[in-house]
Amino acid sequence: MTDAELIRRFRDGESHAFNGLAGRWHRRLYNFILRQVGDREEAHDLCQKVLIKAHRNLCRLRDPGKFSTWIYQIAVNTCRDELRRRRRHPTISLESLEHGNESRTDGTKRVPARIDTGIHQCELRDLLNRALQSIPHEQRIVVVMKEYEQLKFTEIAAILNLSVNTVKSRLYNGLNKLKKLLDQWNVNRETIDYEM
Amino acid sequence: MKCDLPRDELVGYLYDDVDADQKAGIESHLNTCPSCTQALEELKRTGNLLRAWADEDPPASLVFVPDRRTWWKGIIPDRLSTGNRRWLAPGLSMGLAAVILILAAFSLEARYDGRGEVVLKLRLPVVSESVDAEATNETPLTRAELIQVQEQSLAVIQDWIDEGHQRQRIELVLILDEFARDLQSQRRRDLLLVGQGLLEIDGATESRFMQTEDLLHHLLAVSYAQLNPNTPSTVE
Repeated sequence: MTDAELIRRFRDGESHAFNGLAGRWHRRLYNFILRQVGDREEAHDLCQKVLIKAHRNLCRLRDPGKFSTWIYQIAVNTCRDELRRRRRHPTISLESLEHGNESRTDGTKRVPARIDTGIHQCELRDLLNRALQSIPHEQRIVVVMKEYEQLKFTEIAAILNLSVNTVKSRLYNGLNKLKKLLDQWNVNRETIDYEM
Repeated sequence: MKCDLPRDELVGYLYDDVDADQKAGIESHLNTCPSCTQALEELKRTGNLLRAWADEDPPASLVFVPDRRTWWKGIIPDRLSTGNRRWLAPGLSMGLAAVILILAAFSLEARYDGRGEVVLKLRLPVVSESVDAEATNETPLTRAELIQVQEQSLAVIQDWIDEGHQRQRIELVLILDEFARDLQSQRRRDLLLVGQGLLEIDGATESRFMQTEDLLHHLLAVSYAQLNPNTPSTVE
């Protein structure tokens, strides 16, 4: 069953049809948000917020065929609001405390030491997360949408309300910054393959 | 990158988002430009590195439980209960005001009868030919007549006010009278109780005197017997 069919059923009064949509999108949205905000607990909370917003406003969606664009827009706006709030009221998440306060949610990050030996999968995840959080948000969104969500440039442009060329340009700049950071930390295919 | 190839074209080529002509042009450029080739390789490598972070499972799954629909949600369409909710309250208020105006036009009378019941009366306007005829034959009132009517109305109102005052005065006198009677009877009861109390105290004091006297007699007899052991006691 497609998203559009589930939406039609939900609008016809089958409220449990939304659970089908939520089940289909929950994991994808969680990972999309996690790569934007960098904190698992917060990503979980924001993911819930996004799904609740979608549940409340689904009746307003004119074209059910554009559900993916619509829900990504909700997720992007929710994350943007959260990041703005975080800049105004800096906090330290429990997750970062558990990991020795290496990544702080106020935007300042401790740069990891150069890695000369192999790295574990969870360490790699942490390093990539930290690298993503180090680049500007507008570039990070584009990188996440292209590299992880595998969206087309036209889809990204529609979600972010930008031109395709701007999207490509932001992706180029984002990837370049990430490359420099990862080179600086000596994270490359060889150090990953050491453990993988 | 130090050549003229736009970056967005290079990115488009990397993700296969260019048409055939553009693709051929970029490929021929890459054959002659080592810096662009290197930039493309670096972009590719960074993308591969990023994709090493696989998707994670969310900590908990979400289930949306449908809320119980109240009876009015079945009547009001969804777009009223969601999209145009901000118009709902003013709309209902205006509707209610319109109903009140209509009822007022039909002379609806609501009266509280003082026994906990509200009496509603609806008087429909009666339109008869005779009334219409009367109305058409009516001549406008003169100023003097108008003043006279006003004076009569004022006199009636004044009478009502006087009657009200009189009734209040009578009620006040009755209340005061009843209060005075209550006070008098309470005073009598209190005096009676005080008298009974005094009598009880008197009786108790007398009996205590008697007991003390008996005790003194007894002590006297005992002390006399101790002083004169051979003579029989005279004091008994």
